[in-house]
Amino acid sequence: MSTAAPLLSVQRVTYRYPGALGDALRDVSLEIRAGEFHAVLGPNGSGKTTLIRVALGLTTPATGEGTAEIAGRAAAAWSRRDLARIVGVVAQREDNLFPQQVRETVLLGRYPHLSLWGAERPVDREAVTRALERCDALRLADRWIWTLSGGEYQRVRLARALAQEPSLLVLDEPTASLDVRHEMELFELARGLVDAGGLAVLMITHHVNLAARFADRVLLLADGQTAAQGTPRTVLTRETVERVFAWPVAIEPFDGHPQMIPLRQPKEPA
Amino acid sequence: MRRWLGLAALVALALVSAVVLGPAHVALGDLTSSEIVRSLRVPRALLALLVGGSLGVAGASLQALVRNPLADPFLLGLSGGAGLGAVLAIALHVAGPWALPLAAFVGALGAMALVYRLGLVGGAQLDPRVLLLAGVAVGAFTGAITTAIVSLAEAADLRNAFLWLWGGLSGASWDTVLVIAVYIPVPLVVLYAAARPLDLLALGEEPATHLGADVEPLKRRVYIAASMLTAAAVAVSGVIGFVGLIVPHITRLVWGHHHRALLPAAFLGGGALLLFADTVARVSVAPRELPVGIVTALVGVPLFAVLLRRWMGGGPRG
Amino acid sequence: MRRLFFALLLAVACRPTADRPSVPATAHRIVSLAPSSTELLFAIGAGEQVVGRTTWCRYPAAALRVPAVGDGLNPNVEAIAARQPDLVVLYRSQMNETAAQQLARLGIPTVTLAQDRLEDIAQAARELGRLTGHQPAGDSIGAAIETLLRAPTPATIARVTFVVWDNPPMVIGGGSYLDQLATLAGASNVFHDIAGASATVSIETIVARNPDVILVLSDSTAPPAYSARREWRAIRAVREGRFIMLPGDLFGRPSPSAPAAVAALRHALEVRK
Repeated sequence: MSTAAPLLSVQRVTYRYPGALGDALRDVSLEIRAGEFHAVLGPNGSGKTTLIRVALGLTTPATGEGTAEIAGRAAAAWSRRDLARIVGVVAQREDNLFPQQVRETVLLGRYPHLSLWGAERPVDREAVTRALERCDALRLADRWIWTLSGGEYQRVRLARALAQEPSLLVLDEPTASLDVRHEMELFELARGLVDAGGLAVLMITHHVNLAARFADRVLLLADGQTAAQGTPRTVLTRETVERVFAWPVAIEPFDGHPQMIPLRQPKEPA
Repeated sequence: MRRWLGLAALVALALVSAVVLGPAHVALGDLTSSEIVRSLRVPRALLALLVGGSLGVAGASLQALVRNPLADPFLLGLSGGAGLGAVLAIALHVAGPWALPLAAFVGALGAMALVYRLGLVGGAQLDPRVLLLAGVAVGAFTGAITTAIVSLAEAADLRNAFLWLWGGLSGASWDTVLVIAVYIPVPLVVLYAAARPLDLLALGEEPATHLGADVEPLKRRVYIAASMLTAAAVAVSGVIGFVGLIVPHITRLVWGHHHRALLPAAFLGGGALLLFADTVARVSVAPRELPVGIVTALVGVPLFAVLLRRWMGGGPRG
Repeated sequence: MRRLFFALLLAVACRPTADRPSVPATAHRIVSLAPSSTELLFAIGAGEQVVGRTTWCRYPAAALRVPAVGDGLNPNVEAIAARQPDLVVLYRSQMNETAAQQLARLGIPTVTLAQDRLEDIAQAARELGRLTGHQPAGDSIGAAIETLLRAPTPATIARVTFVVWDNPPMVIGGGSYLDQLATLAGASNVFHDIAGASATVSIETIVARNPDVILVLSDSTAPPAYSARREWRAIRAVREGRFIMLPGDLFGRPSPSAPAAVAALRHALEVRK
């Protein structure tokens, strides 16, 4: 890959939530550069979302417990506005209190580029249109949010993040409630942004198999620690996966990538 | 663009009718020379515009802050604090024509600080839901103390203090208008600067942060600025309900949730509503006068219902 | 089940009200729950027979020695009963109806008297005189007030308004005893057209009606606080400082001193001219 400074660099981070009994993250490292598609996998509660929050400076580990940097600068040192010009995030959940049209909600992504008092400029509207195009959502532009299907809405949220014109896109379980078609479309979309646009993508997902087929590198977390890290082939071995997910699996290759097939474990007759 | 012209025309109409109409008959030709018009009606109309506008903007901002469309500026305990301050000023016989407004203002700020402190959870984070609960609690608490003081009091004066609290613009004069006009620009500017981040806040605090908003300072600024506007409004005109609650909803039906347009629209809309309500309050049962808070409810609620039905057809729900 | 519920409801609601205990021929332990009736009792010479008053009953000075049983708004039935009265005098109002019933259930006789206008005081004087064995005194006071009321209305020597509160501005209307006193003194209340005892008005209405003098219920001689406020100075009488202070002992409630009050007001108005 490229030899430029990493966009996101988490080095040996240990983090414990205030008042928690154990570490949410222990000695975890991650480096992402432009043009790379990273996936973070792991069971529930393994620290995936915490990793994102630390990496983006939303919480800070105690001194001596590792560093988190964005584009060479400490994550916590970035102003939120400047950071939003580099990193676009599609969080797991967002509220939808007030009805809006698609164009309006994507326009919110231009906030980091707008001056305090200035109005939205033509360049902002163009960025919105381009973002919608890249997400194949331009035909939805004038629809009201609540009329969209789950898959369409996720594409709109992705467009909003792209409207920020970021170098790094962070997606936290973006396909959680999507059907096969929309899920595949989203993964293809993300892959396309990396290949064509030179973006970096960091995706947290439960879909191990799709991550294996689309991601360049995979980080597998278990109990806040790195269980395995590297290319999908090196990470997704039977021993590792069975240990992390506590379930027997078979690993079969498909299209050059390892695919995980959970085995049945019928209960012993009493 | 048409919407803004329509709103401006509404405000102009409201101002003109507030100056031309009144319980005392003033001929059209005498308007500019009449003492009643110059010393009473014009300052009162301007005060209605400024107070109504302040309540409209405060209401819209607070509804965005607590992410609850039922929020009203007076839900955060400020009216209770103001009432308690006023009653104490009367009970302690504090002298001076500005004693009552000043005491009410200080009382409102005290309540604001208390609610703010209660709303802080886990260090420096302001939780909007706790803020609402704290506001209701502080309002009830100060209300109880005020009622206790008043019921135990000997003087009829203190019982009349409740009448003041019901809200009215009879204290309007050029002095009052000047004080308010000098005071409100700062909180208004602070809130307008927060308009875009408030749009982001509607998505949730974490999504807003990811989009570049500094959420904790934003919540603090909006809460304090909106409270300061409300405190000033209560100090000069008592508790005028419904304006802060309904005007943002009415303007949202037309301007949507884009706060850079919504806040100025809420200012003009609130001003117009209070102007019309005050004119009705002064004229409808002349020579008597209705408490303006009753009129804002009687006028505002049906207006809202009508607009809601018209726009529900092709428009958004909620 | 529902029928049983409604039957119970009906039975409770239609419970017969207690028969009112009859009023004694001469009452010796009277609790008076209104400032006017308290003052009247002392005026007719029945002061020794008053064993309870409200905290608002402050005239005459001798009344202050009588134990108070609560404020005038919501009678404290227990405190009243503790005085062991054989008669309770109530001001006629909705809230006091309930109190009367509660006292009746305790076996305490009550009498409810209207005490809003001067003619009510005349009638009350006669009634209280009868109830306390001071009939001549009661009749005498009643007659004095009735004579006052029957006298031909003097010519108007000033147009006045009573301002009782400033925020919101409240004035006295035609239904109040103060309006009656003013008329008898030769003053014309510019808000006589308001039917009730008091009302909220706009300052501009006061400006438009342009009273000559503003009457203020106050025991001090200082002009009221609002006279310094800019919006009040639109009223000519405020600008020119034309206030007359009406002391509480004569003007605070409809009183047997009505003739003296009228004379005092007339004198003040004539001096003003």
